[in-house]
Amino acid sequence: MAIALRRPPPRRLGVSVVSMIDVMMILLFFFMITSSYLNLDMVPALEKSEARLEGAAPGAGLAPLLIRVSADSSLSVQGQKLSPADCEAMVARRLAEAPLTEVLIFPSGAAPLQGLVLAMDAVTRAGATRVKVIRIEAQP
Amino acid sequence: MKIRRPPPRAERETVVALVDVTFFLLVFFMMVGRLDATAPFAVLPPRAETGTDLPGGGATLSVAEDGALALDGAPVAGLDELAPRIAAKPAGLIRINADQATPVRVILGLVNRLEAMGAENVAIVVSPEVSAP
Repeated sequence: MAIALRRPPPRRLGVSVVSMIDVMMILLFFFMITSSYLNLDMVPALEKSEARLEGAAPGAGLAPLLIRVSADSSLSVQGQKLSPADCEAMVARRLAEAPLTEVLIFPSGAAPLQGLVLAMDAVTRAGATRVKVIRIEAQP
Repeated sequence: MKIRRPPPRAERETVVALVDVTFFLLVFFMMVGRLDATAPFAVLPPRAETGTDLPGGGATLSVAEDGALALDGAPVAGLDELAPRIAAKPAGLIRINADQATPVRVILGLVNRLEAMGAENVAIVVSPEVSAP
């Protein structure tokens, strides 16, 4: 009497995913550790603008508005100390009268960067597009 | 004749779900994070509401409160290392990542020197949120 014994069909070998998981874990840790998650923006400090190349800028005859930034970060216009919100309102009023008014920001050398950014922020919120930062060169 | 059945194989736990989760985490961290070089000293950027999005690429010049400089995360004494990069690509963005307490004279001096070296695009890094001291 013969008994036919069937062999079980050979199992298909699957591709091992263990090494892929290892590589992905290493990549994951790499990106988690090396990345910074600060939300950062920028304000332009130097731009090669078209207007600079054109020579005489439009509205050259208008009196510019000078905003001083003192060492304690306070803003003043024509000797009058203003809060950033008042400064913004004043710039907005001037721009409503003459939209091409140039705004000059004159920071004290000892003023912290936050003071200068505060002034630039107020002026930008007011809608000024022609803003310059000026400084006095020290003579040796 | 006695034929033994092979012992039943233990069911292996599927790792597909783990792979999926890991992959999602990987993609999340790749998209959310920025691979910027960090400064070797503490830098707390100034706060500004009207900043624009900071693009990637270019060079990052970190400035500490006391005026110490670092270019792309490595401490430098001056701007000499930046000169060939500016000469090769004048329109490339140079980010000044300065502490909010750095005196303006340091920053404006740096901007002037960068302009003299031929840089055309310099930006100050700011934070749109109130940063913790």
